[in-house]
Amino acid sequence: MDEMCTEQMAANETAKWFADKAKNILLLLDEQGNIQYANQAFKRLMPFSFENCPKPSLFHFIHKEDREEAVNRLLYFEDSASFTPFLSGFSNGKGREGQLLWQDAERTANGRIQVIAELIEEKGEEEQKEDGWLHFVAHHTEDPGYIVDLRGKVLLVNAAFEQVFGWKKQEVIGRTALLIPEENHREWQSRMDEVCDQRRQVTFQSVSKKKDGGAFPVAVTICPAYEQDGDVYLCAVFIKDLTECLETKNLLEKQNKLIAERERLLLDITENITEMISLFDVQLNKFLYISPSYVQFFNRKIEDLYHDPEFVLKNCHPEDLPKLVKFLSEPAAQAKEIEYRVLKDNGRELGWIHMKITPIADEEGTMNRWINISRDITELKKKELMIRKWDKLSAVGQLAAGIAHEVRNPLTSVKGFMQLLAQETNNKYTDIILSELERIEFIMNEFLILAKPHQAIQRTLSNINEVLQDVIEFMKPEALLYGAALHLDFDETLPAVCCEPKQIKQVIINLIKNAIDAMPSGGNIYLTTKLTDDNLAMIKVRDEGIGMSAERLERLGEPFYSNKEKGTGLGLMMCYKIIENHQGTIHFTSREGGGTTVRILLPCS
Amino acid sequence: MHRISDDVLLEAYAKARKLDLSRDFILLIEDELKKRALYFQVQAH
Repeated sequence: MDEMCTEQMAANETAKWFADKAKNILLLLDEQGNIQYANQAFKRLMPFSFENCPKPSLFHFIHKEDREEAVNRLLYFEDSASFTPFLSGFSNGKGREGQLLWQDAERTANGRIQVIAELIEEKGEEEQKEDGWLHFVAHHTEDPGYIVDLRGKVLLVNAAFEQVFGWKKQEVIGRTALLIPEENHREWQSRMDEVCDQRRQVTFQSVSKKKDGGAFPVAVTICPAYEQDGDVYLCAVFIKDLTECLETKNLLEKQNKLIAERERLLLDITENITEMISLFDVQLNKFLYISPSYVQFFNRKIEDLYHDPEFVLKNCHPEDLPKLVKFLSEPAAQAKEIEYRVLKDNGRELGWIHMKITPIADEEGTMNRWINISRDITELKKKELMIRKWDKLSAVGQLAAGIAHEVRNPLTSVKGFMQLLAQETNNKYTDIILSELERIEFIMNEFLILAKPHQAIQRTLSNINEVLQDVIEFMKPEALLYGAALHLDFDETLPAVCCEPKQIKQVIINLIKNAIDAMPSGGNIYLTTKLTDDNLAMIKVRDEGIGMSAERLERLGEPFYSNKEKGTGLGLMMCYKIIENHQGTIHFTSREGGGTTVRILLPCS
Repeated sequence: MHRISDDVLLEAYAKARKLDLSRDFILLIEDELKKRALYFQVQAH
């Protein structure tokens, strides 16, 4: 019996020795939590001699706020397997404070409780002051934060951490890398190493995981805490949940992309359509946007147009200017439209514009801006003009047919008898009468050509170059007489054209005569033939004569309209008619003092 | 033309041919001569 007691005593001594040497706190509690035994690690924390005191309750040394939880966990656990580690605040009542991590507990056969704890954070007053920032960052930031030692073991977490990650602090204290997904361990460790090695704060974006396993994007900031010698001994880690940021960012990116796409779409439209689009600020008297089509139409640089807000008025035809000024100066609550003429290329060319302006109201309802959509309707106007001309031609043609039938025979008779009279009387006035009769006859002949119906035209496949060559031989003497030189440039590859050569000759003779008349002091006349890309035979007659104004050019081909003193105003009308009957087009370009160019386009066979 | 007497018409035709006046004028007179059945006289000459 004594031997057994001796062995038991020896074992107790050994256990006590090990217990006192242990770094962890070892306690034996009774069922009320009074300390029955405490090892040296715990005794060292006490401000008094533990041995000479009545056995105190452990919970005297636990922070008030943690006391209830500590009692429940340490005294009322079922067995060792169901015990879960937890953390509680510790204070010896004399200035030593810290955190105790209760690691394990077990009930003995006689109902006592033996527990193991680790003092993971102990601070004296000075220390508390020095590390106050750690406490501050852990508990006074809205973002989740925690403090780790250099091995990555969690020492402290704040309330936000618990809220965001779902772990209670006792579940993570003393553990490592719970919140870091496995695939991100290396990255986090390398950042931690960077903080320690370079002794500076590091921020990076990564992924973290919650207690329920859900991963989410985070911005991680690791701040080092230094010992007096400057070495890093702890790190505060702050985590910012980027889920909303990234969602917002994605949303913004999507919206920006959508806006950019819409802008691109609008820009594609406005930059590529032929309509001229501009946005004008009435108050600022400046253009906010001018589409590139303005550049093409006005042949001016876009910067010049922006710097000259009155370019629209400046290019307006003088006769249309008053109505355009009135149109633009009258305030309007609704869209309005106008058509006006413009002088292009320094007045050398006449164009037409259809303008529609739509006022845009600002937030206060004031119409401060106008969207101006202008369309080049020059070709449309030309076509309208052409149609009017054709209508006139048709009317004149019908009239001519009647006149020709009724007048021509009496005229021939009068002329014939006048010639006989001239032979017999040798009167000086007969020549004048005959001359005037010949003019009447000439006009009648032109009327007859106009009146000739389409069906009557006998067309053959003809070489236009040969037709022109005949005309030139015929016109050379007259050209020489007036000092005009004829220059030829024929396209030998020009295919045959289905036409009535006599009528085409008539047209070219008319044009050459006009060219000679336009050069009172002589000059050059250039005749060119060419096959166009549209497979049309082009005949071009260009002179170096006095040219015409835009207004005169516009009226060419009208019946009885002539620029010449002795002109009938039927020659060009006849040319228009003949070319129209050949399904061709005739186009005049001219400028005063700069000569005239006539282009005839005929379909090839 | 129909107001002209036959004699004047025949004379005018002869002179027009002689002076080689316009073909249209000559044809016009010939038509009138045919209407009056005088054209055979011209042909006889």
